[in-house]
Amino acid sequence: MSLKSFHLFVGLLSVVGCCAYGMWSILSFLRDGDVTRLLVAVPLLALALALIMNSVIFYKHTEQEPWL
Amino acid sequence: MSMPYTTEVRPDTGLYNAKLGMWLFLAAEAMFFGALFSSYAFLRTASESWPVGSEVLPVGVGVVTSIAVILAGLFIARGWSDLAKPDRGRHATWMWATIVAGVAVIIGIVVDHRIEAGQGMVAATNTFYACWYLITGALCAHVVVAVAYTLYLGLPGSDMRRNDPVRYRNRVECLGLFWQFLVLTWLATFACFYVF
Repeated sequence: MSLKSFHLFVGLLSVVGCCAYGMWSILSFLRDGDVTRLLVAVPLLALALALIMNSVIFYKHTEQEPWL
Repeated sequence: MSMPYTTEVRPDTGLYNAKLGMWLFLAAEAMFFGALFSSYAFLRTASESWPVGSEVLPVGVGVVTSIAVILAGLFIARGWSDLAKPDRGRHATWMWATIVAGVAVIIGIVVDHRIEAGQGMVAATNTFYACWYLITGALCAHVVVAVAYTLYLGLPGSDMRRNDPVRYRNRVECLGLFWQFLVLTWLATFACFYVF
């Protein structure tokens, strides 16, 4: 497996992790009113968005690279 | 005498030798961390009471460390992809960004440990802290090695970039694979200790 495929796989997992934890933090904020949860959620959701954009750019840059 | 298959693909494996070596190393690392996480799972399920990580650990520091390690994995991959460009793009910048992100990960883990130790929560306090100190400490040691090798490729190793660019790109790819492995391991650590 090349860095191309491994990075895209890890990027996908990171997006899922960031979204899941970010959403859980927002739900905690709505339930308990703890502002620190909101402060945690915002950068994580922003990072998830940045990771999706990065993955698209990275894929375009490495289109010619082998998957293995 | 030159080493065989440092740049060209070996016909029987379909990989150049360094990449095969790196995957074998990562397989060994997966078994190492697998043993640690298996022990953690066994101790946790056998324990009568187990603290909720998000209530006892500084989650903010853990989140910053997570962001830093994800960014390190991202930067090294971009550094590798830029090497395919004729002018190497922003390869050097991505490599230095990887080092900065890696150092941030180390600082994050050390700060985490210091906060908990300052509150009297050390590895001997209970099984939860013993597992947490051991796994995050082992991960921190791995990040130190990854940062050191990134630094090596950025400074003395840069000679190879000029003299043997294909081999250099392969080295960066192998290093990138290691960084991705560290991202995966940290995500598992974060889920086990800081969330549940």
